[in-house]
Amino acid sequence: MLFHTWIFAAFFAVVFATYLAVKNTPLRLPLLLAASYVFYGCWSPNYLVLIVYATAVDYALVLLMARTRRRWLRRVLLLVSVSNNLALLGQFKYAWFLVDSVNAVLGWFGAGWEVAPPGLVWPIGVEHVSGAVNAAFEWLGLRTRLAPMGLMLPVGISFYTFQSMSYTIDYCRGQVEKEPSFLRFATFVSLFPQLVAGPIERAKNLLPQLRTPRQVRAIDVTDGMSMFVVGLFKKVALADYLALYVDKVYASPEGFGAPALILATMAFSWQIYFDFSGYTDMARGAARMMGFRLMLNFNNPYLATGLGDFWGRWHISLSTWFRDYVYIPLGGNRKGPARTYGHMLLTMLVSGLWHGAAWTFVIWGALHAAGRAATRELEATNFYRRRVPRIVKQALVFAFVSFAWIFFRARSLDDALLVAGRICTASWTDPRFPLLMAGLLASVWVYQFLHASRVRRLVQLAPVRVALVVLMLLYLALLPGGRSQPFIYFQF
Amino acid sequence: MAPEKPRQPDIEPFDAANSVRLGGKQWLVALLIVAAVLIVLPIAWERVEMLEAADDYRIPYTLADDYWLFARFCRQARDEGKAFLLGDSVAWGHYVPQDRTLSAELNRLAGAQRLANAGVDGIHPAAMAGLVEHYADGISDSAVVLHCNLLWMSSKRHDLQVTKEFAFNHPRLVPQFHPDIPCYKEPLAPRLRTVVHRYVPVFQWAEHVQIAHFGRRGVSGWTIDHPYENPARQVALRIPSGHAPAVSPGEAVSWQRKRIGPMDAEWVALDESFQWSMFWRTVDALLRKDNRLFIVLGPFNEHMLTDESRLRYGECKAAAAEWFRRRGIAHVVCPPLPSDLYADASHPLAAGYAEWARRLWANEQFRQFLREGGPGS
Repeated sequence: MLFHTWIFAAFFAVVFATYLAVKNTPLRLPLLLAASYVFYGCWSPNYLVLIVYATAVDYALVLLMARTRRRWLRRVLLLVSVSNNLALLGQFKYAWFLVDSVNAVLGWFGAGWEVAPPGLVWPIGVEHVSGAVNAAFEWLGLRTRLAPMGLMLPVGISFYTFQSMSYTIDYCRGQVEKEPSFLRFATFVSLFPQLVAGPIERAKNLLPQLRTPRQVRAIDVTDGMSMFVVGLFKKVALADYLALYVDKVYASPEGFGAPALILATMAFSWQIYFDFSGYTDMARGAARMMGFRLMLNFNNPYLATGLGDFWGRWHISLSTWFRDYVYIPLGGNRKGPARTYGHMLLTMLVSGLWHGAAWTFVIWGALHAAGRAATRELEATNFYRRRVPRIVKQALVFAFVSFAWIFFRARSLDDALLVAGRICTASWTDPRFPLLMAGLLASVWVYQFLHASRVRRLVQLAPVRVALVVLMLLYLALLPGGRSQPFIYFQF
Repeated sequence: MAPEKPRQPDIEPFDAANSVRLGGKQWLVALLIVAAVLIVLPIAWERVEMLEAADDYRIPYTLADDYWLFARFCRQARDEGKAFLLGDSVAWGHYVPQDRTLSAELNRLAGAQRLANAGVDGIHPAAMAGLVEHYADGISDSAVVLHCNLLWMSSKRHDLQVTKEFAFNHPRLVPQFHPDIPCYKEPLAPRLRTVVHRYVPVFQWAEHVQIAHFGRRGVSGWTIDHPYENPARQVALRIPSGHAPAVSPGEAVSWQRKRIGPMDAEWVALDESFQWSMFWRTVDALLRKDNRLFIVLGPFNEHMLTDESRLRYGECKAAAAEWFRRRGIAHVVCPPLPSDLYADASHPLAAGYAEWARRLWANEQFRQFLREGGPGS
């Protein structure tokens, strides 16, 4: 169920109306949980098994932690929680990548044997699990069957496992209280606006909001609508439009000259931003309408003046997650420059791998780590801070980030290297980049500069804002054609 | 990732990101403006965009799924006092130019532009029912000649009763939720989108603009193919004519020359046929709109059938005629045309249409119906 479809509109209208009716009654949480599971189950009812399992295990482990005062036992229980969540990710997201990589190495050494496909590893392979479940269904005379699970990557698994895991870690650290209600905890893990692509919420932000009935004021509804419309426009009008050019060029990069490859790469930078931040805006908007405040996830990342600044503006909920649960526990910047860079590199590699089970994502993470290491000292110098014009810094960051996106977008490592190589070596042929697309991008760029500049007051005049919303709504009603494209980050 | 001093994510949302914040009254103003534009636009457009429905006009082949255009064409034809010929590609005239179709031949015999060709290429009874129910407000209080092509009951596949998914024509017109079509496996979201579009004229109009002027890919897709052209100039404010047939002239030859057949159709019994039930849904929808109805059954290319299949077809045809009789609907059962006048199982060639029209014109009841718009049903 995608946010930019009529089915979500119908779903949300029903849930919102019911929520308003029951928000001050004990039915509030059951409604939110049921709605969230319906929302998630629309992709595949199979996925519900996983999310309920992940939720139940973390909930039970924290209850057990609360019963003991032994520090070592709490740590063991935390280790079980982290291992369990990572095992879920490993089984459904990384197993094939791992097996393929191991088999490639074995083949390179001429070992003569291969590791079995992950789904067939007895007894934990998902094929055995789904086979056992189906046998049970058959024995019970039910016609329901689980689909073959080996091929599926449950949508949003990286998001909700991280969210659930953060709760057990925070509890073990004494940063959040135990949540006694399973219903509330399950709602925290699965709250539908942010379930499949974040923001990755922290227990200390969202759980308290679930404990008390939310006040839904008129301003919450209008603010939520404002966020939702902007997000919808970013996704449908901008990201999906840019995707047409990006997909065409990246489908056969060997057929395009350097200008087309450069423009497609820059277009992808904007596509992924509009796609992901559009999703986040819609998620936050839908939540706000129900009185919930989800954390900010994007803050004009392409206005960043350094790579550190970029990561403080891009996918903030994930950046801070890795900062709090990986980088700082490793030692952060407290153990000297060499270790600091090591921690940075490791954190970025893990972050790359979080995004996808492929070497291209690892390289993307490594590129950012290298870029951050190379520019960290530079950014601290007086020359860079005071003498280099802001716009030059922003352009440099955008160029670097766009270059790194090549590895994120390309279908394979070979394709990524081909694109990067051809950008430098291919002839300068007509890129056939649509003028309308260029105009839209230019408008957005100008808008974000204005928004962050002194003339912001002009952009925020009431007639200008009303005109912008009218134009966005008319564009959405009249111009999009074809099928709805899924969000890019759903694959993670 | 992992900056030393990360920005705290507790910035007020409207101080960050590309946000546009409206208050309650501003939302009201914005929604009123949008609603006004969306209501006025299709109406104003209809006055600006030229639909020059010349003699024997038909909806162009390339615009067959432009249902807003169909609705507009029907309204225009009704205002001109015309009767309608409603049917699939046989009525539309798949192999012939627009001045050689059945409606054109009948108009020639009548000596006036009496009959509007409201045939739609590629349509079948399940889609026709949707077309009449949702896009044919213009077909009301009029005389309607409804063509019945039993080809759609010739196999379970034609009857949309197979469970394996396959792409059939005009999926946006078939029932999206009930009754269930086993071979139609579209996900829920696009089905709901289709239903919403049926009831919101401005969405139909937006689709019309995209189909008629941007080659189905929409404005965004069109700009990818024409990167340096101005999309606004593509809107020609003139709808293309439907003169050309759907196929190249080389294909408009008899089925024997094309060496197709024989056809061993199984024929689905009418009381078990989904398409037949949808045909009746069309009939009921037309009658509900106070139309006077005359059904033309056939002529199917029986020469192309095997002996056994021809026998089964004969039973089917007789059963269909019996249904019409029982419902008291004026009808004519057309005997087959000469074999060499067919291009395939059901489409006549140009000479076939002329012969078919002569035969129909020879039927007193039909002639009277066409001249006077009654007495039909």
